[in-house]
Amino acid sequence: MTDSLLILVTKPPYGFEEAFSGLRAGLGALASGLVPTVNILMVGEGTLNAVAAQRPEAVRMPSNVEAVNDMLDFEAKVYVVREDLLRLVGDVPLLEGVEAIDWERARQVIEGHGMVTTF
Amino acid sequence: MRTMVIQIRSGTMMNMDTNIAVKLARAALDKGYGVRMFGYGEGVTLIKKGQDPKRFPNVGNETKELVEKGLEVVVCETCCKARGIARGEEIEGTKIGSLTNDLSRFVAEGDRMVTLAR
Amino acid sequence: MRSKLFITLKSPHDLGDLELVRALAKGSRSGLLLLEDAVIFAANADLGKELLGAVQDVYVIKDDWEARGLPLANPGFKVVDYPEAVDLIMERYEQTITV
Repeated sequence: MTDSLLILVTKPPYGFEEAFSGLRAGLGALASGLVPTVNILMVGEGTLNAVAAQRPEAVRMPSNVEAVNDMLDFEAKVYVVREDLLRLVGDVPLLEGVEAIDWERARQVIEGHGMVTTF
Repeated sequence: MRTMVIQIRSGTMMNMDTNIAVKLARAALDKGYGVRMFGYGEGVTLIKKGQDPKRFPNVGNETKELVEKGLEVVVCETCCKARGIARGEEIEGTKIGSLTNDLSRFVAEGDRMVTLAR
Repeated sequence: MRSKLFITLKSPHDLGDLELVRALAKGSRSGLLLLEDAVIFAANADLGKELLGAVQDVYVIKDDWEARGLPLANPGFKVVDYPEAVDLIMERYEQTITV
């Protein structure tokens, strides 16, 4: 029995379907009412899913911004490992509502979930 | 019964991920665990009826055999539609279902999640 | 901290610099299960040493390793079959994380 699911997002947006799929899996779990706690942790290139300036319409892809906001609307936490983002692209603005954390905190977040699935 | 949830996101002919999924499922069933498999993204191809990979292992047939031994297999309907896989094309005993109803149920009732993806 | 079994299907090239594994594993008892092209790690002593610097135990799935005809360069690696892999997943570790 598992009452908490963490969606670990490692893939960047748009090139792969993965990050979008992960966010949608999270939304499905929350909407089901069967899994009380579902949160998102973006690491490595996955942190790019939280970049505020995304314009998915430029590649006519479904919006990862919308997918993140849908999770936030369901009161999920969306965590972004700040040091990974900084190393990749520098200090770019993030979507409102996401929480920038360090790896120490990220490990605590993982600890707080029964299941982890990677996208 | 303790349950393993296998989430498979690779297509049947992309790599060996689906083969690993069925091998893990078989070993877990043999040990008396419950096993539930959810096909997501390209992973939905696992349940397509009529697979004929010639010299490669036929994961479709293996899945069917494991379903008879108690494996529950559900794949994402939205992903099936995206790939032109319609209801009625699934292997007998498997189901085209949803993230909300099925993957979530698997998570809630499961003990471990094995994610097979790249 | 919950013990963690990492699972990877990626070759050393695809898995990259192990930074993610190190960051995830820090502070908890952890193992890494190598499947498919990840078994290439088993054949390279330097890469193997690097892996054992990130996690305590490395498990190599037997059939993928045998199929490739590779040596086992690191005696610390444990070769396991599927029933043993199921034990690792279901009993020996509390969380499974694919990397």
